[in-house]
Amino acid sequence: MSTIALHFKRANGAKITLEDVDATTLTVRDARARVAARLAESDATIDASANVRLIFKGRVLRDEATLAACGCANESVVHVVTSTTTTTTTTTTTAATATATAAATAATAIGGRGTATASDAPFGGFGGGGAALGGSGALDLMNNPFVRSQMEALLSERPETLREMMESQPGMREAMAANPELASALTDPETLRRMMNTMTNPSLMAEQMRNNDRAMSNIEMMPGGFNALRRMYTDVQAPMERAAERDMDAAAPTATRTVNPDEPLPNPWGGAGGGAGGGGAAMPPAGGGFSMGGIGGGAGASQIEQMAEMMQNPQMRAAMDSVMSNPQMLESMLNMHPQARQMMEANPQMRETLSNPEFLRQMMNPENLRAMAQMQQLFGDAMPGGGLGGGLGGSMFAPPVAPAGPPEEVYASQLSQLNDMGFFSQEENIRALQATGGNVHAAVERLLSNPGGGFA
Amino acid sequence: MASKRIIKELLDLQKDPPTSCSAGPRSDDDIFHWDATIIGPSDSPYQGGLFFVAIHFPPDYPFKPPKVNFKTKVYHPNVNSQGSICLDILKEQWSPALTISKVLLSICSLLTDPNPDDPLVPEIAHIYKTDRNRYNDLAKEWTRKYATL
Repeated sequence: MSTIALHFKRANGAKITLEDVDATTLTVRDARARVAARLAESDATIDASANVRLIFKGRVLRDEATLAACGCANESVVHVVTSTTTTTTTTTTTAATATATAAATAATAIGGRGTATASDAPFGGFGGGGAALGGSGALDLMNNPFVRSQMEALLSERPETLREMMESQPGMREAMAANPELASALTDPETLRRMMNTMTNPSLMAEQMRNNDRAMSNIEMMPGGFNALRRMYTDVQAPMERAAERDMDAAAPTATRTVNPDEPLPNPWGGAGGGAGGGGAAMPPAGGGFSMGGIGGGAGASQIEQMAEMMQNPQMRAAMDSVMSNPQMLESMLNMHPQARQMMEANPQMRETLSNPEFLRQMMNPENLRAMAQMQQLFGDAMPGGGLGGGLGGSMFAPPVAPAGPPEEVYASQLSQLNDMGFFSQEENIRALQATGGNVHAAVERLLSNPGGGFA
Repeated sequence: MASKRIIKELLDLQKDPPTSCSAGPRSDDDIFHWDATIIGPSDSPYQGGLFFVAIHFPPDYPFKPPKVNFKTKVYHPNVNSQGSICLDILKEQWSPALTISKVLLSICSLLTDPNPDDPLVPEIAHIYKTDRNRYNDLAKEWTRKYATL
């Protein structure tokens, strides 16, 4: 059996090394004696008979065990505690380093705050729910663990919030009142959760789409089938579309949607049956209404992205924070903007949300903004002229600064976070961040699913 | 994901552990439950004590904070009789960039500098604020009684 080297570390940072240790035969008792003898050489306050304890992997090692049995391997570091309370000479440097590290920890904690607080913004998450049915790009969004966890939390803990959100849209409320079946489908957390699961699983989604198309063509073949489809369209999908459209029109008169009942999609199916896909097909516009209202309607995805960058600028942040902490100022700002006011008058709930400084602060969190930007892009795909045309966000940030730069700078904070987590490949980190719009969580998932990446 | 990250932390800890803390899995077949020890900071009444801590990693670690509890009784405004620790980075201030090593060091500095304004045990916080000597004596007494080998 070859021998190993073991390091012994004292609480004051002093370190001694025992070379040529045969861990399979050396018991902890003998090791203690050897360590005590070595310590006594250098430290007058310790004599060779002092009660020295060895700690490894969070446990005090038992005398009878051999070092190998305790899991000590070559170059392992074992902690040494001298339990004689006479060791008053323990230098204060330990404390100094400990405090310094703690300060560093605190700094990291603050740096990482974005991820911690993000889970409190259910509105963004919900918007995502609507969007996710829009296209395949949405899968990324739904696979984003923190959007997902928000959705989960919203669905499981606060179904009533969801309902309120639905009902706070006047158009939606009408549609739901006219179609009770639709209402129950849209407010049933179980259905929504199923919907979400379907969305996050690409193959399930594709399968569902295929089934829908097949079922539709089957129905069309049957005598009277086309009429049945048509009726379903007028009863279910049209009211929802109209409702959503009306809400959108109120804000952006240019938004138009052309829907032809002869076209096999968008899928009017599940809505009637309370199934997964259908409610969603008509939902994106509604979701759009929420999320845009939530962020105060930046003029479009690109602007939100810019806002996100801007918010990373510490000075800007500080300025915003001071504005945010003054609810009156905020209120007056909102009232000044005619469109925002209109929106708020229609939605008292939104007014409440918008004048809640905490909520706004979260909205300003760059990570949240990025997630929103992703959603916005999706909505943009789904609806021509989808942006609210310069809402509150636009008015607050009138001269948008374009901080486009090399990704190393744009994603500096995220990169250092990834580095801290043990992803050391700068290139891959940047790639992952670019692909995920700077979302660290999503980037981590991406890096881990990529066999080349991950822990070195 | 979680286990990869935990194994990485374990390797880091073995290579270069902090001076005042030691940690490792309780058994080889369950890396989600760890034991840790914290050596009482020398500039605090906990000096000379050895405090045992249990760490439980959630399945979605590092996106959720680990659960960290004292197994040794500690007289401290932010540690209750069940061993629960009131520390922001174990709750709302958790960040995936934090590691167990950093958490343990934060607990060390919490021992040195209690936070009586956000107490878990209001009585101890009150004594800490109004009668520091009494607090020091009691904390030393508890350390001698419960945390000395």
